[in-house]
Amino acid sequence: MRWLRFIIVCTCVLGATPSFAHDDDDDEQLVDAGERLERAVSDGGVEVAPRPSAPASAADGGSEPPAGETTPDERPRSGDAGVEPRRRETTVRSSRLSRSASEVTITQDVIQAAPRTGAVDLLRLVPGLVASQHSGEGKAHQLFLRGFDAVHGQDVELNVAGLPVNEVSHIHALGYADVNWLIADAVREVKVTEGSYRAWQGDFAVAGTVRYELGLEEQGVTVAGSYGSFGRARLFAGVRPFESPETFAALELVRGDGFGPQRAFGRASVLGQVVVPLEKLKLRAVVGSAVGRFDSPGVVRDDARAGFFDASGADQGGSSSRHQLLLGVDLLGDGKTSFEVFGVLSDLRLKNNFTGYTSGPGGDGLEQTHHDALLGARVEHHRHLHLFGQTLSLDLGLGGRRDGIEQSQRRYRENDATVLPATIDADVIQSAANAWTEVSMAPGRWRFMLGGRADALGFEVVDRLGVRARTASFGVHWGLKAGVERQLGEHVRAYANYGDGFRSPQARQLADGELAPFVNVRGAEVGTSVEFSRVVTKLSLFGSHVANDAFFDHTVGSTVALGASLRGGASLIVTAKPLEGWVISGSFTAATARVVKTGALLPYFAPTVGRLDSGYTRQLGPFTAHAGVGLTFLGPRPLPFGDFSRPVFLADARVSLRWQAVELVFDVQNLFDSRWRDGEFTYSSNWDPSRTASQLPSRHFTAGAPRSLFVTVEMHL
Amino acid sequence: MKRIGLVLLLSGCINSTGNSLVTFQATGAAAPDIGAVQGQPLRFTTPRGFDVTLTTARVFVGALYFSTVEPMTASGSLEAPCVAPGITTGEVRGGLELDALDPTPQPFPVQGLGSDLPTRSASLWLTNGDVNASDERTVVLKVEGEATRGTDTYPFTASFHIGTNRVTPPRNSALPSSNPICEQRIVTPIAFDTTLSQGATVKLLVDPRAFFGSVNFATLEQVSTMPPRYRFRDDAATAEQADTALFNALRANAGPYRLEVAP
Repeated sequence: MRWLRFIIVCTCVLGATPSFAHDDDDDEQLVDAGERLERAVSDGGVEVAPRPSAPASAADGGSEPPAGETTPDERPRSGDAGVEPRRRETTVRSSRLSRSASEVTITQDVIQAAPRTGAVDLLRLVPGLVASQHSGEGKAHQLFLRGFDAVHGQDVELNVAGLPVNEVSHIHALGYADVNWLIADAVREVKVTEGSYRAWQGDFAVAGTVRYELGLEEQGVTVAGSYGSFGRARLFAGVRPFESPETFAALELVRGDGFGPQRAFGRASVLGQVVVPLEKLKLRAVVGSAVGRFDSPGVVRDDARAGFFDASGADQGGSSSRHQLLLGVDLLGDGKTSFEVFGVLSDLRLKNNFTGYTSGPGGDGLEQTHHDALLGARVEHHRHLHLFGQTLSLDLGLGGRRDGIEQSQRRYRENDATVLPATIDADVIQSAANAWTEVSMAPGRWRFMLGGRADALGFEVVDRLGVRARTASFGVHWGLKAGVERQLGEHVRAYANYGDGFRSPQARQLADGELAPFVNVRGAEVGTSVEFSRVVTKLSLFGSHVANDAFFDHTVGSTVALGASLRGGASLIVTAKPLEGWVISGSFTAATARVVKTGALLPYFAPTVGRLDSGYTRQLGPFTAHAGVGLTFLGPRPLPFGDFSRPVFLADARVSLRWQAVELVFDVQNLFDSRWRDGEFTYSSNWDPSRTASQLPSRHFTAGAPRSLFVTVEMHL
Repeated sequence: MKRIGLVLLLSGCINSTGNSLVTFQATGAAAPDIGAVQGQPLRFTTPRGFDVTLTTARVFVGALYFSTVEPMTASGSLEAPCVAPGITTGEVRGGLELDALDPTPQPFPVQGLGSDLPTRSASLWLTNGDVNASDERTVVLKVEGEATRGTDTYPFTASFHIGTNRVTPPRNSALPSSNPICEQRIVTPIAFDTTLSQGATVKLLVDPRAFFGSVNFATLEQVSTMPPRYRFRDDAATAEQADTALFNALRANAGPYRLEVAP
């Protein structure tokens, strides 16, 4: 309570102007949504404040009609019987209907405050999330969130405008989620739902869900050319033909030599979205293609390196491509019904050697290939019902996807890159179907939500090597979701949430006829939000329990069964706009992750993560000037054998000046040129095949980028 | 929620991942239960009926490794690496020429390093360098003695090394790593169920009698008639029963070797 009082006092000091209070009644929320949302966005900034909204799309946890969309007259709907709506035209700006204290939306002014080199930098704005790269600029990052080491995505569900990013049964790591293809300039906002308390959250939503919404900030044509340290060059072109930011097309070409040996990369992405709002329906299409190639320095053994930015193991790296299409329609009739079909073709070829020569003089080089053809569809429906004198908000969803996967793994010789016969060569068909619902009611100052979700997964694996027989397995996961909210006075709202999350298994590990096991996570959270017009504060306490946890060290491909594990922690999020044009967004998350039986910490998770972004934009005569900083603090991470990684502190800065259509942007990342370690690992390796090497686990690391300068010239036409 | 909160509180007492690195001593000696006395020959009778008087038995142990992996022999792969999967829990990386007729502990020249993870198996490296080197001249077994059965007497010597003389060709060209030389040099898995602790002593106990359990001394190569002398052939290509039996026994993961730990 002392903390709560402290936060309230702080926010009172910062925010002199109180904003509207939350509605206690869903019907009132429905009717007044437009006006209130418009006001909400007039504040700009990070929409961490839950705002009552128009009928929420369950697909995105309560997103409303998109920014800039003009809705038709509000009409009485059959599902809203008894509601007396006001008839008016209203412009509805995007807002987020938070249903827990840790749901946030990161908006453009925060995104633009400090340098961002790619879409993964936007992930780093997610409170408590750490994204680490250990294999070159082109492979999916390793993610850490809320005490989970999500490896390459197994515990964080990523989604781009309805397109799933996580790949099931991936050869390299479960839930492999690569966002390198995503053009950061085409991201309008990032919606974060930490935990797994919402019924629409699906596979891999263990620690949370992050959804990117697409759009271009400025209408017209934007062309930008950039050049900077280590030969990094970038060309961006985008066109936004209409007032709505959602309809756009964008192109990005980027390449670089990297800040050390074996770090060169290049990629090209095209991405577009068309949104056509009609009277009673809205059509939407997303299309994109990307291709890239990257070298990788691998992971360097600490006691065997010559320089900080060394590489180990030759010929590491890979290539990737992704092609995608989503077609959707929203029907506005009795409530709102959304249909979406989507397809993604993704390819990855990866060559890694993290352990050197432990298996012999040929080395431990491993080449992995993964090709996934994904087809999926979802239907979601939202409406209001009246039952026993109460208005109920009902969300329903159905969905399914089919992944047709070809994957292989083989060794290659370190000295001459000769590829050896495959040890894995398999076809996988993984099918998923889900159904979920959320029912909520808001009597008085309370709001109650109860939901559930069922996911059925089917697996079929054909071993093309003929070593294993064809296998088929099936399993169902049932999850409960619940939430309680209470308005406490004008500015304070309290939340309590519960949810079961899950992670699907790797298909090749299943035996024929096996009841497909899921990693089931029970999570709970209590929190509060304190909102004023210029400052919003959110505090949450979270915990989760995994019954049969396993620690997968993907660098060496070993899995250790841990039994039950427990995670818990707290997160504080503050967003403030002290002055016109000045935004401050900060978060601090402390987490712990332990094995229940021994009480020992789990290795690698991020116990403390702090992030502060601030940007100030001001008109100076004919110029628009902007200055911003981004600060990151990562506390020591536990490593095996009682060790800890080094803490990390990074500072980034951006200065820009715009005159009419021309803008000049200077970005500096790692301003103080820290020698920091992006990833630290403890495992056994041998990098000298001529010696009887130690097989004991040893410290390895990947170097973080040194100070990097980047100059961009933008033309806004 | 109560349960979660309670466990959170209870489990908050260990602020590390729980395991730690340890150092330990390692020694080698003749197994105490075979009746060996330092400086004196060892006499025993083999299952084949030979009465053996062993005057010299020296084994060169290049390294010891301990692992979390349970001691299972079937790898399931034609190209399995010599180093077993799993986490190494301890290692002694320094060669000891061990007198297997001396029950006095003979220390390895280097300290052992490891962790307090549970150890389930051990590997013994019979080499004095790179386990994958194509040739290696270190003598890993030297024995001398006399075997008698009935009226036949076989004064014998053996001096084995594991180099090109022990190379086994790959099964076929598609499996170039199917018979690596390291397989010949590593004795694994030896059952060793323990948890190492700081300052502990790991004892490698050798029973040289087990080297001769299957040896038919009658197939030895006679190198001299006056006086009669016999020799174990040190070449897989020309080996007879006695030569192969001794070499296989040297590499047997059960019988000649036993590991114990003293706190």
